[in-house]
Amino acid sequence: MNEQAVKAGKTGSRLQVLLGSDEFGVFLPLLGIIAVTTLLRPDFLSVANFSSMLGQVTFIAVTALGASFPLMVGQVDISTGRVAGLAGIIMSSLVVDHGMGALPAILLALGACLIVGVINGILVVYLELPDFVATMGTLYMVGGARYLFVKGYQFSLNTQENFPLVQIFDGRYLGMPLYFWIMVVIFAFVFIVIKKTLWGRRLLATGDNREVAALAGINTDKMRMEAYMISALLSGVAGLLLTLDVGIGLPETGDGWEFRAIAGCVVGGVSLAGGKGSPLGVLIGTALVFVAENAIIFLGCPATMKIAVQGFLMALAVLIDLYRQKRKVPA
Amino acid sequence: MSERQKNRKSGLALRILLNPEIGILIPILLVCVVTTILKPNFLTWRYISSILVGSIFIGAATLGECLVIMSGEIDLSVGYNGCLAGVVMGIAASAWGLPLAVCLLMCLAAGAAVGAVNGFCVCQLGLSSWITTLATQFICQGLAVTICQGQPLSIMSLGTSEFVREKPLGLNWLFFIFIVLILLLDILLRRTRYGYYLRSVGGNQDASIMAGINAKRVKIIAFVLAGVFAAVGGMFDVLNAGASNSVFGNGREFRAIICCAIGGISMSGGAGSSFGVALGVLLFHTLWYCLRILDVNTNLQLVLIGLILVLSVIMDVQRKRLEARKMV
Repeated sequence: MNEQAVKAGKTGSRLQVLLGSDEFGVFLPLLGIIAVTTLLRPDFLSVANFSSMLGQVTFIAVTALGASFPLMVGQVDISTGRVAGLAGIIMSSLVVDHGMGALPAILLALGACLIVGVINGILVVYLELPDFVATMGTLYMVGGARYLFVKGYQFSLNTQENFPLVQIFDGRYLGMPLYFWIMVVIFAFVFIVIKKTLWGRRLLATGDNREVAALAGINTDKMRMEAYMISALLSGVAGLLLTLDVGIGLPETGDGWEFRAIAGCVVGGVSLAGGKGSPLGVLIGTALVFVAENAIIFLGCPATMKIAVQGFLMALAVLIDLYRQKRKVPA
Repeated sequence: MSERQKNRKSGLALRILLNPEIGILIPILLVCVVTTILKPNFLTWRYISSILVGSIFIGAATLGECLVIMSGEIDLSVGYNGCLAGVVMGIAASAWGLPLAVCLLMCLAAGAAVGAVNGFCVCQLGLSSWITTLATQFICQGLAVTICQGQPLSIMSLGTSEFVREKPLGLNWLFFIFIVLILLLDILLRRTRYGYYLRSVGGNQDASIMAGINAKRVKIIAFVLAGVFAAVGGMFDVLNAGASNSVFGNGREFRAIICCAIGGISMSGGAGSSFGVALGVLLFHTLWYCLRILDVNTNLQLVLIGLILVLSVIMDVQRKRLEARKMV
């Protein structure tokens, strides 16, 4: 808990706690952007526009939830997007080329992702490479390895008889596509793990101050290793969800997700220094990045500036986070 | 006595092995030998000059990148910063019809400006360097694509095509400009006070601040110089192609970092030399080129490059450990 929230909790009501929380600090600009854009361009607030955004947000949100684990422990993983692509292509290759069933194919794909996570962890934790450079190496390796599964024809999952999953993914449940509900389940799970379990407290403690955490008896190496493994695993899940939704295994799935995921985390209040972050914030932050991009285009900015907006938002979010940290902790 | 001599001998051997410049020459030779065995006409001046001339684009960006890495930070904007600088040059030439010298200056100024923004955000605002430069990378990319709108901007009006096409010694003039840049960087790193400060800030920032070095200024200058070198890389692209295009420099930041890692620039800052970086660029480009002429699968190439990056950083970490042990 941050100091301010604790203080507010002591003196006043639950409302004050809510208003002082980091998640609310992200939610407010999200509402603000939606309100302003709707005022200027009423068709922004249409069902069609939001449901088209929802698709993109869901996949990146799952990746971002994964990427938030290394960030919370004070490291960074930039291989997440390529890992997502790897999972998608392995699953479709196993199903189409080798006639495997859905379950073993998915398990093997996720297993491959887990191996990448373990490699990242070994490089960073045990070989002590700088995290950014090490995961950049795996980014290249996984990025190239994905294409080695491609055989010159499309992995179409739609026409596979032993693969009913694509049809299940086509349907809508309670008005939402299935991948949305899976994202909600993953989110709930991550939320409980981070906020309610001892493991989550240990993770944040490791990120906050590794030496102190180690002195308190936490195996910090293990925590960092597990953070990388979860990151790779969740990116793999995101890649599988997209592949199942599209119905075609494409190797380039997930290119560029890594930085969008990190942008979402950072905008959502995950501190790059480690030790701070909330899954709800990550979710809202990812949504904020997409809504802001979309809003700017609605307001008449050329679509090619989308990526510039994303960069600007990311820098701004880190800056605001720095400012808030300074205010909270009197030196 | 004899033991002492043996000690000195093994010390010398160790020093040669630990010397980053020599450590890079061996793999370069190895790559060349393997390629020559598989493709006997490789060792002709036609191929070699092609490798040398082709390496300058990544090379220029790498020279800047190494300054930032030596100061203990990282710069992910060098690729699209150079691209944006090239686009600025293109628009100055094609839309505004400015003379050559002004166009070149505007190109360098654009790069320096982005570098200054990076330096300001990192040193004055306290943002972490990779998030800042990632953000400026995105912003530069967005601006470059928006200005170009998918169209190449021709610089024919500048009349540089003759200059670029000339081939002194079978190379081109741009290559000699690149060599001059390497020499200038070497002078900057080894013969000036700034180079000394840069390495000490990268090696141990707190200690150098206590010794009275203005670490912030040193780092800001490193970022600005990185921007200028990135702009030179973009300028090379534009001059070579005769037009600026928003796809130049895509992914160059990663390649520049890889070249630095191969070239013995310590990823944690503080160590490295200009010639090491130049050799790193040469190794990277030779490998890239040889894999291509040997028809290695493009995607396998990516895997190999990632592997080499990781291996060279592991070697750097081990080298540091060895040195630390020797000091004790």
